[in-house]
Formats: sequence, structure tokens, C-alpha cells
Amino acid sequence: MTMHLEHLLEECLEARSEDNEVILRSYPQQADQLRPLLDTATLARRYYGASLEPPPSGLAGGRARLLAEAARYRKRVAAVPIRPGKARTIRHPFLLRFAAALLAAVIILVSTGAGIAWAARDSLPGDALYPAKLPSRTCVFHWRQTRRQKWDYPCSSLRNGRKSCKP
Amino acid sequence: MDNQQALLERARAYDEKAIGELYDQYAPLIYSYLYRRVHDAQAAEDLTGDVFVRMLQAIQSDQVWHTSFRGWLYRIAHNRVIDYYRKQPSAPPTSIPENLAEQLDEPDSALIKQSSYRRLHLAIRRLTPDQQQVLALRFGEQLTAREVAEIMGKNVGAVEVQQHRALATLRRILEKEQL
Repeated sequence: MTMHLEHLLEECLEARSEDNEVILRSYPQQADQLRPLLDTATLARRYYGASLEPPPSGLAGGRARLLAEAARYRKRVAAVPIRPGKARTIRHPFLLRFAAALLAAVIILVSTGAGIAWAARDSLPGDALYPAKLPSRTCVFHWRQTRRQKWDYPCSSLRNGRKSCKP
Repeated sequence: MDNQQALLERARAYDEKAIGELYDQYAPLIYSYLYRRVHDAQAAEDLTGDVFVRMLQAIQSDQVWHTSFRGWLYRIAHNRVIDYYRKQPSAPPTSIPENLAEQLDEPDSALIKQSSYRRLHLAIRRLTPDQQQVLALRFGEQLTAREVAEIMGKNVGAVEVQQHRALATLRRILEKEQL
């Protein structure tokens, strides 16, 4: 309802008639709510619509400052020798593209490998993903630093199948 | 329109004459908008200069207008006003230019007869910065709600809400002071 009134107010303001009562005839049901708002809008129009002449000295100062700044920019642009077609080009585009391609390839390889290893972690001999499980398990085994950790690793990986793990 | 476009293109190349013409054309508009927002003649003059220097900087870094140059300038001015109030949140002086007060003394309706310019000026200053912004752009600069929304970075519905609240609050303040 409130949103509706806000939109109606906007419609009334867009009507731009001199007489608010003429506008309100189109909105008989909301006229009582809209009338004070439109009266205030008339007042605000008078306030903001009164022409405000700036002091000439003030704007002249701003103009001089702006032109000085523009001259500075012009000098800066003129000081940089620009060869036709060479402006704004990257110095080594081939290296940049190669580095980007290399980075993309590494990201794809690592994420694919990690995904396969994760999918293969519960596979058993005979499963399609089992060959992928072995190297990943070997890698993890070698990452374990202490003997205790190395001993525990197969245990934790077999927990689903066996209740205890003794050598 | 073509002349205007040519002028803007020359300004992009830092053509002194074109920049001067743009300043002469838009500085009074920007000044009056800024004055109505900061209520301080000196600050409005300084900020007007800042807006046009920012315009040059923006042209330099290719951050230029997409739809309307005028709307883009108002947007720069809007940001400068935000910076201004951020730096000095205390209330600015309430000087009122003589010519403005005289123009508003012409009676137009019962409400206007009862309201002096000063009362209105002080009442508007009690609105929130966003509400003042909407009224200044809608009634001072005669922009549409859509244009105001673009300048303020809001949607049209939000501008309509702000406008409604601003007028309702202004009405309440004026009525309260009259009692």
C-alpha cells in the first residue's frame, strides 16, 4: 500500500501541472494522502527552482584551475613519445600468453588428479579406479614422516573393512 | 547534439577551448546543485572546481560517461558531496544568498505565504543527506526519477521511496515549526 502511494506520488509529480487539484482529480481515493505531499513538493520546487547565480569570481577561479590542469595533462601526453600502433601494447604478449596457458594446464592437471584420487579412495582390486588408488596411497604413505604414522596409515585406510589392524 | 558530441571529443584530447566551453556550459548548474547540497558558497565554488578537475582525471583514465555527460557530471558532484560531509560532518554555515531569498518571497499558495525562505532552508537541512540529494536533483535540476537513480546508484523504486519520505518529513517539520 505504501509502495503504491510512493509510485502514485511520482506519477503526480511527473504530471507537472500548475494546479495540484487538477492532478488529484485523477486520484480521488488517495487525494487526501497525496495533497499535503504535493503542496510540499510545490514548495520544494520553488526553493530549488529559484535561480542561483554563482559569484563570477568563484567560477573564474575554477575555470583557471581547470585549464591549468588540462595544460598539465597535455604536456604529460606530449612528453611520452607514442609510436603509431604501439600505444598501450604489452611488452611481451607471447610470454604472458604462455604463462597463462601453463598455469591453466597445471590447474587442470592437479584438479583432475585430485578428483580421481578422491573418487578411487574406496575402490577394491578389480574396480576400474583401483589402479588410480595405488599411486595415491603410495604417495600418502611416503608423506607420513614418523614410523608410527607410517604404521597407522594402512590401518586407518582399512577401517571400513576390518575392526582391528595388527601386523 | 552533434556539436555537443564534438565538444566532448575535443575535451578528451585536452583541447583548451573545448574544456573551457564545457566549463562555461555546466559549471553554473553544478555550482547551484553543490550550493544546495553543502549550503556554503565558498565550499560550493571549491567543489565545482574539483568536479571539473575530476572530470579531466576520469577522461585521462578512460572512466568516461556511458549515457549522459550531464548525469555523469552530477554523479561526480554527488561523490564530492559525500567526501565533503565525510571530512567535515559538523553542520556547515547557513548563509542564504540575497537574490535567492527575494525570489522565494513571491507568494504562490497559502503554504508558501506562511513559510519564509529561511524556515524552508533550515527544514530541508534537517533531512537526511540522501533525502536532500533526491529533492535537489528532482526539483532543482529537474531530473527524472530514472536519472536520479542512475546518479545515486540506486533503483527507481528506492528513489521514489526516498522522495516520498523526504516530502513527508519536510511537511512534518514545517507543520511542527508552525505550531
